[in-house]
Amino acid sequence: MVTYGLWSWKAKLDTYLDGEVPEGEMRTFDAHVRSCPSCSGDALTRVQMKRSIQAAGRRYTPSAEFRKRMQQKIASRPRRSFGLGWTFAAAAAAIIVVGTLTSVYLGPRSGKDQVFSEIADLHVATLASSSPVD
Amino acid sequence: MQQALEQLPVAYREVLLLCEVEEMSYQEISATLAIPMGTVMSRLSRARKALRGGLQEQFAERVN
Repeated sequence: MVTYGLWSWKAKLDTYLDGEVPEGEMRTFDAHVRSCPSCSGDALTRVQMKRSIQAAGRRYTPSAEFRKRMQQKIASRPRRSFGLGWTFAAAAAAIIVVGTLTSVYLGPRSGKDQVFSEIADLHVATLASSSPVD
Repeated sequence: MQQALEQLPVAYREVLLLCEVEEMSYQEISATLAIPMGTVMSRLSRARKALRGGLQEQFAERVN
């Protein structure tokens, strides 16, 4: 069981919301965010920020310079040789099968979306419990 | 938001867009940009911080 101080939790919150925390720590993080009003509030703010960046990013028109830079970087990526064509084909087929089965079992929501909606629900519940309606 | 995004340094903007819009993992970004994972994480963190700062500035300008 991993334990952190409050500031350590906060420092890793973006990594957690990006789904990049290691599997073992993910459960610890989930449990902490569920129980800590400060972190769940902070997580909600960051999720809203992520959504805004996604929306703005989709409308973003890169300058010619920026586009050229990105194209060069992507084009200069080392490419795998296809000498092991069948191995790649088998791996791709396995990934498709696993992906299909996973989507069938997990339903249409992605893991990130589920985390985000749970955080939002939790935050609303926390707000409701700390300020009861007369 | 779009204005704040455009004001980010290119190195931060590219990492942020690959992460948030293209939904690439840190490892994929690292491979695409040929930079270490630690650099991806630090640039992302700084990009988000700079973006928050930029948005706060914009908000303050509108209020004043």
